[in-house]
Amino acid sequence: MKKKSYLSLAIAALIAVVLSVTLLAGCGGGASKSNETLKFGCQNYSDSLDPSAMTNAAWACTRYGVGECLFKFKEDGSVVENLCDKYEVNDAKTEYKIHIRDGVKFSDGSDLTADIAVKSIKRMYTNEKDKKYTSTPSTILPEESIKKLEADGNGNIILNVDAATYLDVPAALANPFFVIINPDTTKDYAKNPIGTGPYAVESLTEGSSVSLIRNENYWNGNVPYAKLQISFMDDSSTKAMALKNGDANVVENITTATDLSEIKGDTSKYNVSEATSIRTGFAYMNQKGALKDADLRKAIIMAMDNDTLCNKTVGGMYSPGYGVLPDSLDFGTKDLQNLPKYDVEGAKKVLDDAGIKDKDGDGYREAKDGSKIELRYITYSSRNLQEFAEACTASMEKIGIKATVKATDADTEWNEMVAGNYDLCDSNWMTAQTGDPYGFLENWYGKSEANYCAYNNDQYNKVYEELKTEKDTAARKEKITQLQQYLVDDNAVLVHGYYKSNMCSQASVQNANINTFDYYWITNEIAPK
Amino acid sequence: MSDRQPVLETKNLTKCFPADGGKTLTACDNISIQFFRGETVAIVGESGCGKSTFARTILKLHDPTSGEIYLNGKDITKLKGEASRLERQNIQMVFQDPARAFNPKMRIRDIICEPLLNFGRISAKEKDAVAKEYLKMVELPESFSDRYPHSMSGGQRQRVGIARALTLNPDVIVLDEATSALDVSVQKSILTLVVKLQKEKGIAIVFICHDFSLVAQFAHRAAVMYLGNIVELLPGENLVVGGAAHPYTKSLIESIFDLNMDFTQEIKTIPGEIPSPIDLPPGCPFADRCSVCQDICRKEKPKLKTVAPGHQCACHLVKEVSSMQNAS
Amino acid sequence: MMEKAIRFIKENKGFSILLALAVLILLIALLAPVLAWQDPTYSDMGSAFQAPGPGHLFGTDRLGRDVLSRVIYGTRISVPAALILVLAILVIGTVLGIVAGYFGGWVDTVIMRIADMMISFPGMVLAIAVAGIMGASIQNAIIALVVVSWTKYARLARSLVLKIRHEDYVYAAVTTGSKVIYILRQYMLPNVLPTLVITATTDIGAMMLELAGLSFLGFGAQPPIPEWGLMLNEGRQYITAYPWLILFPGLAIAIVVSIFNLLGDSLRDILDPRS
Repeated sequence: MKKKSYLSLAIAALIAVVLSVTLLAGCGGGASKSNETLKFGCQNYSDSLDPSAMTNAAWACTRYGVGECLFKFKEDGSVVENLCDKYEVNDAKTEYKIHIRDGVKFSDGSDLTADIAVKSIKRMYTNEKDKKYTSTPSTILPEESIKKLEADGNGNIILNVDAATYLDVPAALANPFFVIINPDTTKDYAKNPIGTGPYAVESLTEGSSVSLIRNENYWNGNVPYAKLQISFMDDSSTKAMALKNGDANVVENITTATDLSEIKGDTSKYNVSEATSIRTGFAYMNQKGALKDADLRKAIIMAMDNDTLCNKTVGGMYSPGYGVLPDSLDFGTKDLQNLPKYDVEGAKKVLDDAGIKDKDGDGYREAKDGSKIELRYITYSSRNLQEFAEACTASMEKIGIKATVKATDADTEWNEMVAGNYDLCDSNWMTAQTGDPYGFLENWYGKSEANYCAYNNDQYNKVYEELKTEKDTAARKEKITQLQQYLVDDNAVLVHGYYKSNMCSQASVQNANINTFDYYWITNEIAPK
Repeated sequence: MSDRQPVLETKNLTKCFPADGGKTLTACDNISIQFFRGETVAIVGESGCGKSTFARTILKLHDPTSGEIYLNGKDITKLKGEASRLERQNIQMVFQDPARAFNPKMRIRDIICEPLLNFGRISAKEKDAVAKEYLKMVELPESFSDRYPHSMSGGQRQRVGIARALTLNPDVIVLDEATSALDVSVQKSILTLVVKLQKEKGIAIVFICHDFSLVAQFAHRAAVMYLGNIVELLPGENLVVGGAAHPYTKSLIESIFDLNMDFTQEIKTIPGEIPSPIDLPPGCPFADRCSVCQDICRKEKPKLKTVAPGHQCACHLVKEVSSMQNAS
Repeated sequence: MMEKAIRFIKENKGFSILLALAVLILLIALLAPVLAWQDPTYSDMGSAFQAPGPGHLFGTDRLGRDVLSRVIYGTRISVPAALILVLAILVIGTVLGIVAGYFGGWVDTVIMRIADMMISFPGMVLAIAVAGIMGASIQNAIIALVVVSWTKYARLARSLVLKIRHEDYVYAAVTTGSKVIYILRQYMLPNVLPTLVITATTDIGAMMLELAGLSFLGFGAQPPIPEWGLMLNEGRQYITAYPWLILFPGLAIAIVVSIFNLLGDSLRDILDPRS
């Protein structure tokens, strides 16, 4: 009898302890900190989170709210301090003294110091030389332009750059390549980089999902959700369905127009945030093949009904245009002259006059020298590119030009493009990763190794070289407008339109907004309503 | 002693099959026997003694494990492919079960003419005439040419089998229990036909049979097989009480049911069962069941030796008689 | 002759109707250019996504192509492709099965072990892998499906051959000097063919589905070919807004596959009523 009563007493005590602990735990935090999980559905662009591994890995790091940079882009494209709180720069814009914000901790509790930040950045440059890593921070801030990079012992980073080159250092440092990850405490860069962002990785299943938890040490306000569950969905309809049935409360970039309009239409259940991105959807025209013929290129561009393609065929996911830079950027797209017009009969006349006719009666035109024209059009299924490719092929058919669509995946498309194994090749590119399209315009610079379409215009090359050192903003804009004009005049690029980004969320979530610079998907502003 | 050349001869012909557990089943054990033109040799024995395997082996339906087969003096043992196929013109078989020996989808005309077409001896146009000729030869009405095998009786089908076997004019015909599936009344008529054809064409006949009375009537010589061995070779008419020398043959003869036998006498059976032909022990194959078995019988296998004119026996207890005395 | 035909039709009503329907489908395939009022690849981007109505009885798709014309032309792709596929499987499976069953030994072992390997792969997965390596097209999809599907026929042929392989009349054919080819052709093949032909006819429908499935997943027909499976894929993302893009190709597949399935069943009933 005695033993039994002691036992029941012990059990009662245990229950009491457990209950009180639970109650106490539940009492922690105010209304801004919930126990909920944010479920986010997104495309998988990278299996690794190591910023050195490849570009998309660096972007994943910042997008998932794991890592942050010294600076960041705002909605309007301007650059502001982030992990730094102030900086000094000389007039020549060659000497920077960047002060690291005090009291910022990494998610594992370690402190952010100037020294650690410098180490993180240097690691990127070291790995850039290693074949195992394919990230290229030098395309944003060339290592050869850096004269000095070190911590001064007073919480500042000293960064001195080349006088001659035009460099917007804060914009460069806002690029995901320069995400600050603690090299001293990170053990597995690919699966668990230690960053300063609102969420920290708990576990990662390649190709499937990432589980993250609240960073209790976050420096920039409350982190609303206790957990962040990221599920990879490569198919737009899947994203829409996941949002509708609750498998996700936020998804990025629904690119199927019908799903998007349905979600937009139900404002009681869903929020939709749209932004014109700085992405252009376009097809490279390879001048190493049949498309070296300028008349052919001209006619093809004239045969494209961009308005219908953008507004109807892809259901409004793009806005039409002819310049390679979107009109959301202020680089003169609106000032371009002599833009092509949609004119099927005119296109046919151009071909007829140029001697590009159907001589053998098979329904398709042959080139001026009589050789058959059969354009190889490579595309992949992302952001409506495949629909564009099919629609453009059908449009070319109308003017008697034969083209065949070859749909592949992103990797293969990239390799084919680099190898020059195409006539037309679709892409959707961020045109201004640093807010300036200098890097993007290199694609058409005649002396560049990154020029995959054999375009070579001496005037273009001259203006491009001038841009390297041009520091005056107005002059830059003028030169960039000039470059766009050359491409228009030469009918060098088949532009589809400018992509509209979106982020869709359930009504129970607020502030799930898409940024024009889509380096950021998950922020601590996304909170339960 | 005859100095005729045998038309078919086997020397030490052995056929073994692999059995479960890595053992060997010896179906034919060192069989040496000769067959001559115009002569019928019966192969007799109980079920499982290896006579059917022997028949199929000399027809190259099985590959011999060791030993040789000579057809018209030529060693055909190792022949393969086209060479082997061509030799088939010299030796044919009549199969046991007339219900299964013919392709049910072929007409009699086609069945009979198939061998001739195989060797290009006739053209397709001549099939009709040739079929009718052979049907006549085996005493069947010409109208059967159009029929299918299932619309004939067993005996009629067996006649067709004989006709088929004759078409190539072979030197040897093997009748593999060809009459066993027939009614007794029919059996005799078939065999009479065979004998007639044999006399006309001088064919050597190998007559696989288990019916002693039939053998006694129709075979010139008989070979008695036990567990794959020939234990006695004797004139066909000797397969009666008092005619055999080997203990096994004697017991077989004595255990035959006959309408004329003396039912007051005790029915003699051979004690024991036929042992398995797998992993045979040394010594005489009949040792286990022989009523007069001696020590030597278990140790040493007896060889065939002449015990009377035209009569050989493989038994230690039977005295050999010099072959010199067989001059005739 | 006519009376025989009429009597046959009266006695086998089901089979005759289905056969007539199958022939009708083949006729549609043959006469597609006449029946379809528009070129199936002709696109009028401005009239995309139109609902079924006058001028476009089945509506238009995202490139403004007439869906009815595309469905009609689809018979030209789906039906012949399935027939070729089934024929190839039938021939390859029959030959390999007969050879394996007749010769036995290592030939049989090799062929059957390869068949076992093929069976252990889920058919669609292996077909996708083959199509993925060799590139996506209808031809490669057919090749891929042949590679994974011949085994059923080989096994069937082999077992049918084994049933008669050791019959006396086969041995009689050997002893009377028949060549091997002759035996395979005259003895083995006739025993195998009726059952296999019935199986093949029943499989036409299934094979059509597999091809459509591969095209749906992107491993078969490529745009702008009007293949029903591909049309399902293209219409998939618009299912809530423009359901006719999926409805009509889907119906086409369902109807044609059903007709061929039922045809195979009734053929079996006629030729082999005991089973």
